[in-house]
Amino acid sequence: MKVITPITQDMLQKISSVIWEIPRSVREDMRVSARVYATENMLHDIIKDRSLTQLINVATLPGIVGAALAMPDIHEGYGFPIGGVAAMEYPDGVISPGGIGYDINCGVRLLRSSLSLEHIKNHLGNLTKKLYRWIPSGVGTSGRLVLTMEELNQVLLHGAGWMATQGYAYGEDLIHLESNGHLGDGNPDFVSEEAKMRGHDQLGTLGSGNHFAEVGYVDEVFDQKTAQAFGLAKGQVTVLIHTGSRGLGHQVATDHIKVMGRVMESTYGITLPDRELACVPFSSPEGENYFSAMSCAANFAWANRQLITWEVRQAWQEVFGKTEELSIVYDVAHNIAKIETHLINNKEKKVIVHRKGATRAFGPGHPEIAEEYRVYGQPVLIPGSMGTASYVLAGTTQGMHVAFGSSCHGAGRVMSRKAAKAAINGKQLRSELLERGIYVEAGSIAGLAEEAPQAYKDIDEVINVVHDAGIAKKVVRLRPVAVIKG
Amino acid sequence: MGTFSILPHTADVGLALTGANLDDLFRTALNGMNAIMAPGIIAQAPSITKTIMVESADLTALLVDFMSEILTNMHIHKAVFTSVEFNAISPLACTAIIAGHGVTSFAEDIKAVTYHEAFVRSIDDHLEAMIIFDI
Repeated sequence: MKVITPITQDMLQKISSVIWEIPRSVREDMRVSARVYATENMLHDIIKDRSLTQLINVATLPGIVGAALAMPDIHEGYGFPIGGVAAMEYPDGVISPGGIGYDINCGVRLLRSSLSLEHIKNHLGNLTKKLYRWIPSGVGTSGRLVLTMEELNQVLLHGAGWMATQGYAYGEDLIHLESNGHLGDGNPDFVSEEAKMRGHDQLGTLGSGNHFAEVGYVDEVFDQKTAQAFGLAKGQVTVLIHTGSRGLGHQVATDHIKVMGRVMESTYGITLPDRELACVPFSSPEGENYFSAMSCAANFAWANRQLITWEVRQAWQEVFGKTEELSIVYDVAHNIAKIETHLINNKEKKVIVHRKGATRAFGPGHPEIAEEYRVYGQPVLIPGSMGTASYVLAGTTQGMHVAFGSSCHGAGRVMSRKAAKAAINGKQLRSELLERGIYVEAGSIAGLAEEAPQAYKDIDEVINVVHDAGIAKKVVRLRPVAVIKG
Repeated sequence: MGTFSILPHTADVGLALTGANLDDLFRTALNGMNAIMAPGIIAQAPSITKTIMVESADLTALLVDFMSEILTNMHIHKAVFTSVEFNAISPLACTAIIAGHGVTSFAEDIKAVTYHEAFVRSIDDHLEAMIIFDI
């Protein structure tokens, strides 16, 4: 058992006001350095939990290239810290479910309306209730579709594309999703029966925890040209959807972490400081099987957000009429591993990029960005905590060079759920939000307290770090007016 | 008689456990998970019975894998399992029958039982353990 030394601030070297480096010399088992995007003020809080130790653990993984990265919303997770990014050599570096998370392809989708805040102000109470009625939420809640195993396998293979064949998507929806809402490496044979049973009735459901659907509006535009390209303008009403692969993804992760834990040392000779980092070479049978299953779960998550989009559209048209449409701005995954090409030591190389609580943020010109956005960079959607701001950013060339085209994914927790429930009264919170003009419908008042703004970092500070570091640039800020939670 | 306490964790929640022996420790872990997912649940005449068989590389993994099996069954059957009878239990394997009843919803969504910081150790005449759940 290795002795892990706690991380102190003097172990970090200041690169700039928002970039800090943990050199390889800090721990002898590090294969690369680690880099943290944060202000000095944020760093004081970050070192209080074990997230930097977890980041150093990531830097020990076989095949890691460049540096282990931490976004400013970093906090302690299991295996990787939340807000962690790492790229591994392809195909012989490792793949680690702990670098992706249990909620595979948890992600965010942004819809834009043709309405302004003025148009919807007097309808917010009704709209909130309709959305709550249309979108099933809460723990263990079933959705409106109960899939046969054959139908579920089609979802696992085709993701949002299958939803389009069933009439749940508009024509241009799919081109506005990361990876067009579908990873091609999925093979349902590597998804267990248990995972399928957990997921077969969960499409179109939000779940609980920090998942939500939120109506908001653009309250500030930072980059007029890019905002225009994304179809966003000041005062315009939007809808954010945040959820993932539900029980199916959780079970896929559980099943494959268990498999990897059994073979990691005995077959591949890999020893790690944390068994939640369980990993195997990507090219091994266990690695390939996991990547196939993970791809299926990612496809399920895109299908889930597609059906929720359809549900939101139904509620929207019930309130504002059949001619009012909601278009997809973009959809991003923030718990996923992907094979991507990046510049490593000035040479283009395929790598396995793990993003856990981190968002892909490809810069201008990347062929995977929808054509109409390509010249501006990929839309990067960053939700804040409930009742605060959310942001739309754009990926940058700088981000491609230094962060594997990645950005943060949210505000990042600072308070445990238990502490939040003890410190915050859910009913009072709901009243306070209503006084500020934010309507809330939630399945659980206690769950509402867990997600109070006080439980999270300041989203403005997190976004400014990303912007100042140049890994993504601010485009618009959104303010919420209605929130649906599980 | 084992004890459990619910531990705060930045994004998740954990259980600190004690038990007189393996049987007691594992039973207490089940009670602890029920206290998070369905606080205040009262045992009813069981309507769902499942057999669980787990083999793991070590005792800590066995506890995590045992809890994972129960969690999977809770989600699939939308049920709370309030009793467990062990047919066999050793540090590397166990076979048990769990029994419970259906529920309409859970108070908290445990996504997974993690190996993160998990341990089982002998202290004096009893066992101590910790597990962290991903919420």
